[in-house]
Amino acid sequence: MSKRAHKGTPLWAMWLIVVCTFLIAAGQTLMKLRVTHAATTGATWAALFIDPLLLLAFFLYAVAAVLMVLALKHGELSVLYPIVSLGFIWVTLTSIILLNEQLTMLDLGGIVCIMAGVSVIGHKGRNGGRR
Amino acid sequence: MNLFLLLVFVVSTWIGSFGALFLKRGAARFDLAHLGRTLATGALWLGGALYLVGIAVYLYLLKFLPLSIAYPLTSMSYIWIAFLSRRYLNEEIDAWRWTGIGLIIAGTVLLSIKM
Repeated sequence: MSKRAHKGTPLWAMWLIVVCTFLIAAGQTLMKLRVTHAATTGATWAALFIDPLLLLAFFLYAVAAVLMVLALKHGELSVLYPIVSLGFIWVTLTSIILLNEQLTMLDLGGIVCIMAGVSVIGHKGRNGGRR
Repeated sequence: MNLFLLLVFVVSTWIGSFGALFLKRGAARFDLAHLGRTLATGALWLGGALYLVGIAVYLYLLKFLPLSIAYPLTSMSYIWIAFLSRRYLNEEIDAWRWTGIGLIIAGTVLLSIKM
């Protein structure tokens, strides 16, 4: 049984996760932009995989993964993981603002459901998560 | 709804989830002090390779789907990971996790309608 819950999670770890959600959202937006660019210019898939901007998107993801591990090392999963859901908000915003995508109320309902689901798994799921 | 794209999405997240499963198994033998043994862990290579295949299929999907739909749909992997970790890692899935998975399934259905 873990007593770590009483130690709390440092604030910097929470902010680090927020930074991760920015990096993930930037990476996702960049991926979509580059795939769309490749599709409109008729570039091959092989060319896409050496596209520097797409590689930058993967790099942002890698940095986010390292920072997330660092934050999780010093904080609790049940506190930190629900913060990851912020990424859905940022991606929704960049999709609307930068990519001119249109969302219906049904789509927004779906996104909210998924955010709630991910948060519930991250926040509460740990209690029964024995190995 | 585009059933083909939905099916490709299921396959993509399914492959990625298997990648996570093998990475989890390989992680048990991860040790920077014994880099040779770590690099010889087949499960880590297989997990990483499956992950990359999952990403490649995701890029294909991004060509056809709006990001605002595709990105939340990647959460489908939580559904498969729950089943895989129960089946192969003997992890317990409690009522809260099933609730979360139910919410993700509901969200997936809502997003798939416009797909």
